[in-house]
Amino acid sequence: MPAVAAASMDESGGATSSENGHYTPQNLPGVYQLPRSLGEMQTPSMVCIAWGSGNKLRLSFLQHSVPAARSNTGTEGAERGNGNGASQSGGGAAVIEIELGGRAALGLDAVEDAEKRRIAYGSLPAFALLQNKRKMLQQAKEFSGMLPDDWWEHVLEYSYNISNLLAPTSTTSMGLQLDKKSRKEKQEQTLLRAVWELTEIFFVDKHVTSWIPEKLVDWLTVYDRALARTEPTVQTKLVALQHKLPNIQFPEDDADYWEGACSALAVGWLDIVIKFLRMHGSYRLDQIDNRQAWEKWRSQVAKLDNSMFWSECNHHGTLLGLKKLLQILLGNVDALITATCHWIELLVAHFLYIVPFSMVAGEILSIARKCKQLKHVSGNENLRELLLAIISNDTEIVLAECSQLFGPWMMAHVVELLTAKSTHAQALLLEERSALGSISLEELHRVIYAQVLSSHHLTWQLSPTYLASCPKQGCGLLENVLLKQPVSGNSRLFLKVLDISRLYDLGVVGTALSRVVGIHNWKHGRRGTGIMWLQQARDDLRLAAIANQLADSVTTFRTDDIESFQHLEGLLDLLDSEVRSAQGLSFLHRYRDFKNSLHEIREYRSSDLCNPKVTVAGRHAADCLLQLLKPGASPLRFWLSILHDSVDLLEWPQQVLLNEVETTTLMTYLQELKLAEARGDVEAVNALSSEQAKQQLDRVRLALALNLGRAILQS
Amino acid sequence: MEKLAALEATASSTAWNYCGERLAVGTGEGAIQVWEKERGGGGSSFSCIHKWQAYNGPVVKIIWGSPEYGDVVASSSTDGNISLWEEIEENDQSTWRKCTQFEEPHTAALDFQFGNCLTGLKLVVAWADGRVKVYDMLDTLDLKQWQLQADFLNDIVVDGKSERRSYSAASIAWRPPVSSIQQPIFALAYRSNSLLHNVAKVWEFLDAYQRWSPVAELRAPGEEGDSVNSLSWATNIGRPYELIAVGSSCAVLIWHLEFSQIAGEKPIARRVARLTEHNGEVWQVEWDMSGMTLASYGSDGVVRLWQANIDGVWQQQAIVKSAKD
Repeated sequence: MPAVAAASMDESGGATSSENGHYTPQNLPGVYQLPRSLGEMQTPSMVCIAWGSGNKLRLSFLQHSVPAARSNTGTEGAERGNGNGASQSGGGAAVIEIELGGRAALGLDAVEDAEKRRIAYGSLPAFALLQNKRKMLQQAKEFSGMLPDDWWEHVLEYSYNISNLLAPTSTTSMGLQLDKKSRKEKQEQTLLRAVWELTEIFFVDKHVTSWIPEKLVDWLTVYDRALARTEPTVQTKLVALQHKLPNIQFPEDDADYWEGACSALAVGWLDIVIKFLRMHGSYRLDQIDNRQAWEKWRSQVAKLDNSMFWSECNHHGTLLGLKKLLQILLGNVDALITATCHWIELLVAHFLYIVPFSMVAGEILSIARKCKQLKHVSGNENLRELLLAIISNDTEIVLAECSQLFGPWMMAHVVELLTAKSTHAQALLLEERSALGSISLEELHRVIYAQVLSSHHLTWQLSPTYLASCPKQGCGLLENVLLKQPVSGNSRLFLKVLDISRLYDLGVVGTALSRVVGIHNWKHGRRGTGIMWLQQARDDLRLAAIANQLADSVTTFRTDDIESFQHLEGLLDLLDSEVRSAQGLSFLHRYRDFKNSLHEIREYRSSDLCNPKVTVAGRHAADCLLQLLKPGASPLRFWLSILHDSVDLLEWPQQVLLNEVETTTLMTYLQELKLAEARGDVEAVNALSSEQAKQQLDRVRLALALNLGRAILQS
Repeated sequence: MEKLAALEATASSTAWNYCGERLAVGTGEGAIQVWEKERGGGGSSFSCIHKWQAYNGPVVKIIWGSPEYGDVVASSSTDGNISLWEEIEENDQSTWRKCTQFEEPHTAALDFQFGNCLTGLKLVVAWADGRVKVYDMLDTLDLKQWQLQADFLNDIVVDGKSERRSYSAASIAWRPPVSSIQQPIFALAYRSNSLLHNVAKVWEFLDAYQRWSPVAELRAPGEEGDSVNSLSWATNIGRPYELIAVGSSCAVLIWHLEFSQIAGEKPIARRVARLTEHNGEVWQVEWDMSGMTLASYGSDGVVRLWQANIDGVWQQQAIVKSAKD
């Protein structure tokens, strides 16, 4: 699997950029080398492993057995100057993060992260569109699951879209006007595009079957320079000549001139051959710019070989050079081998001049292999194998080498090309395998790529599209990706995650995260927001617990603390909308009304002692109190608070607010409370245990006795 | 490769929270620190935002609880007790307070892990006397109130010689939640002086009997003597089997555990890999978020990464080592 293996890191943490650096042979593990600063640290007594999102491996290097005083002299200390955590002695323990396979995720070591993201974002719509088409076509075929015969045309469109995303090509250059400034980045992308388009030719496009040589010539025109990255090609040769020729007066005297012309002819770049011949002092005829019917072509060339021209030609260099060109046209194997550099060039020359492709279609593998042997150089064997495998339609090798060379992005996307028309590839890639946990290779590569995407906060949101096309493990991994998002402190991110979970029918994830955010807000003082999100999560358990907590806090509010009381009121209103079932909620509302009316009384009194509204408000408060004291209306643990709050009403100065019967009711409650305490009722014991409670109790008793006396007298 | 934080040299234990945005660090001097990603700048360096003195002795282990209960951390020290801490807002400032402490006379906690089941938050503790205790949170909002839900012995005493058995370490791994639902199932292994009992067991709370029962043993014939240092249970993203990794005294072991669809039938355990590249003790094993990659750390000082190839054969894919090796 490619996700972690194919990267080699140097000391500074960057990927090794040497030619062979990231092409780790499959049987050897990749090596991530720690930065030297860590290497010089005293050998850690323990390393703690943890995983972040995606492929992020986090390692803590600890040396807790080493006393602080012996802390080393490392300069990596990174003291943050906040004085409350960073080591004052420098060095010490450290936490590092390695993004496994991160740099090799696209197989483009030199490509900037931003460029990789551009490709990742750009390829998503094409992928999604193709998946949608597949879905629709499969549904149209009444669940037979079979794709129509013209499916490859959809894949071809997808392939064009993807290919356009990769490094832009300059088809007009004919390989000669090489941009000197083209950086390694471009080269790598171009190589990726070269492989992509070659795969498209051999695996997707059914129309090109009869003119593959022409396609190959075109392909070489554009991508020969990409091949030149790892080994010499005709293009390298021509570029060298391009600089040399303008400075020579008589090019036809130079052997390189003729060699260049031969090479260009061998790989079928006729435009370039013409350019070469035009440089010749005596060039007149334009007779080799059209490929003609094979036999006619051959006989014409043979005729040319025997023509009188040769005896008339008195320039020795031209004579030899033209003879060489003729040998190429005649398909002289040795001449072709000499003229070409890369084995694909030789293969193209073979199809152009030795045996036409239509006659050898079945033997393409053996011819390609032979070309590869003849042109054996010590270059990038993976790439050579990959090109050979593409040309010979060898899906297994294409998969293996692509994964080595290009990593997860390529694997997730190239599978579509491979399965476009080849039934063998379809069987290989779409079959569910028990060794993979009952998923197909196709799904595996999508899952791997999605995990790579989820490693980064700028790309994780692309992963759902890929996971949605994974029937077995997509949902499970998507849940994990979403649940690992840092939603609690980031409301924008949270809303986005909620949207995604709705879009993909992952209600449980939305609920779980709403709960996380709800509780986070509740515990961090944003109680209203907390309640709202818990309601979204339909978390009755936590909402009931909150209602309980609020009920407890009601008793501790002073009636003049209007601000917090209003806050509480707001919270109760919030709770009321959905949690009618929560125990004690109606009590809370009654108690709130009671507290409100007491507050009103104080307000009136503070402005004007003789305000007639005071008495009305007093009577209203008494009514609220009696509502609270109906059987079962109030939990026992609040009785004392209620009774204590009623002292103001009992000691009403102007008149008796609570009559004899009402006062007796209050007294009954007091008695019940004491009895409950005597019985060992936990709520009652708790309510009466504090010193403050005892004082309140005495105060209530006194007020009750006084009011009862007044009430009896009045009646 | 990026350095996220430079910790004090005395840092003795670290743990990341659910989303990897916060790091809890226990130090050898008994302090607990919470580190957080520095805001702004786009970088990923962390700085210490909270620090408090939790113990007199060093912090031995620290873990995070499920975020559905807030920012919760449990820690243990050399005194063997477990303390529970939570972050709350006080006077417009977030602060950490101690909620409760789990302690047992004459014994110490060897390992502890939170499970977030439908019935609420659970804490499983493997005590050094061989007893496993499961604590339930009573009120979903109040981390101060816990009750003992279960208390059982990991090893069934058949020979009456249990008093001579001693336990030096333990490892617990809950079965990770699927669709946000965590089943009351965990794997547990003690490291003891009795070779026969160094085996990882899978415990499940059976509703029918209302008790925890051992439903599987991760025991391969001929390897009974290998003690277990670490367990890790992979998140099941859709495999027909569970993946459990065991870091033993001599190898990384990977087990498949297949739960039956038929109620009451015990799961079938099958060992699929025994990887000995560490050439010695394997101290820690840890699965990534998909269960596709396993990381292990051993006495050779190297972190190794393992993946199954397309034939299902587990292979070493990469190693992390210091420059001087």
